[in-house]
Amino acid sequence: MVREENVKLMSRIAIYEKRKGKTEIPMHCYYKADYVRLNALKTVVYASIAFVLLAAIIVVYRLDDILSNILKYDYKKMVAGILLIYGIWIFVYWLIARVIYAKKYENSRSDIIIYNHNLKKLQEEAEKEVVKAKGGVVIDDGFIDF
Amino acid sequence: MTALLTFRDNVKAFISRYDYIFTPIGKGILALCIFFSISTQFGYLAVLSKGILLALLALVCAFLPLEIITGISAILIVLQSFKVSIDVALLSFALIMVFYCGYMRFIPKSGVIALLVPIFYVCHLAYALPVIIGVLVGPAAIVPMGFGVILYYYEGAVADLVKVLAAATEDDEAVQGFQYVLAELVGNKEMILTIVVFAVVILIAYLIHRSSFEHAWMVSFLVAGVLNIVLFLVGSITLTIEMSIGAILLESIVGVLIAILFQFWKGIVDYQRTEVLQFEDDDYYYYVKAIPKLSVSESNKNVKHINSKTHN
Repeated sequence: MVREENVKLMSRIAIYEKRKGKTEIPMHCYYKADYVRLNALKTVVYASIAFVLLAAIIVVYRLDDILSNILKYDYKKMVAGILLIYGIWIFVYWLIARVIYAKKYENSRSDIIIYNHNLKKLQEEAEKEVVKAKGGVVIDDGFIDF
Repeated sequence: MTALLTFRDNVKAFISRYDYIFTPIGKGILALCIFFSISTQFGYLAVLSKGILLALLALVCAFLPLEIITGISAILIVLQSFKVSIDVALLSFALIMVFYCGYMRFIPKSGVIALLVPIFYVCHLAYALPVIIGVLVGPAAIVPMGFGVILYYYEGAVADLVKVLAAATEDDEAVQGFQYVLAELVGNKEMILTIVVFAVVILIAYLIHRSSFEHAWMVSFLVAGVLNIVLFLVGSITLTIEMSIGAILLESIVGVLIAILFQFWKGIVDYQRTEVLQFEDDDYYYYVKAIPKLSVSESNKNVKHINSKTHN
């Protein structure tokens, strides 16, 4: 027999899984600190790629200048300067990533609580069905009497 | 006004009910506009500029996430650039990757905003953009807008390079496509001014729009429109850039009008959608169509006025 309440619950769960749940359910497989740290690390990798590409574009654009002055550069200073810029670049990205992903995690918390609540309720309904099928009596407050 | 609000609610309810039809159509049209814009500006490779191919791609995009449109557009731009020269293709790839790694990863949908900027330029509505986007999206749109402006001027620089390459004879010095395009971009004061003005207008429009005072939204549109005009005029005079004052004035006013229109229709996009679901349990397969409950106000309401009697 199709139970209307169960269909409603299952529909709500399915809607969530189809939309927000696609990103939020995997997100809540982690603790907040782990999730934020992991994504901040990923961001650092991507920011590094962007930095290398930008640096490559600048180098190729100024290639003639660089080649003509190649012996005049103070390489120690140059490397220190590049590392400093890279450090600031990465720090800014890391900071932004931490804020964004922490906020994302917090924002999804209420949705995941409702989702878990619906799942629990559905499970309880299924357990009641099993009890009934075995001939038991289910009382509304969850007390099972055989 | 009541009739207008009722009409809006009715349209909202209608779109919500038939969301599964309207969303793919909207996405398909958006994809088609973007692909045609790319093929118009970058149409160097005839195979990739064919209408049927672009229509087919748009059809595929209609049923896929919005981010796919950005991905396909990026591939189209890089492939079209290959026809000009390999170094220009590499530059296109590098610029797109910088945008992806540096920003689009955080907000994947922002790629579409960047791709819409050249379309607004083609429609002569570029100066209307910051007013509309500032109110609709907010500061998150500053970077994609900036990239969109770079993309538009990049297309112009590549078109200039193609002309130079076509006019060059064997005796001329070899032109480095990569450096030529970058030099044009770096030296383009108009592009830099546009990016700065757009960023300022978006920020100010957003801050005022979020304020709590009465009619803040209307004030934000007007301030954004006026600020847009003033900043572009001051910038063009200070940096001695030739800009059409008429276009700035007209497009800013159009921007304010479009923003007012969007404000009215704003709720139309964040509705609860009709969901078509499939799931199963131990006994059954379920095919459920969940339609959201919406309260639509009736247009022909009978309002009975009851006047209280005064007792002497």
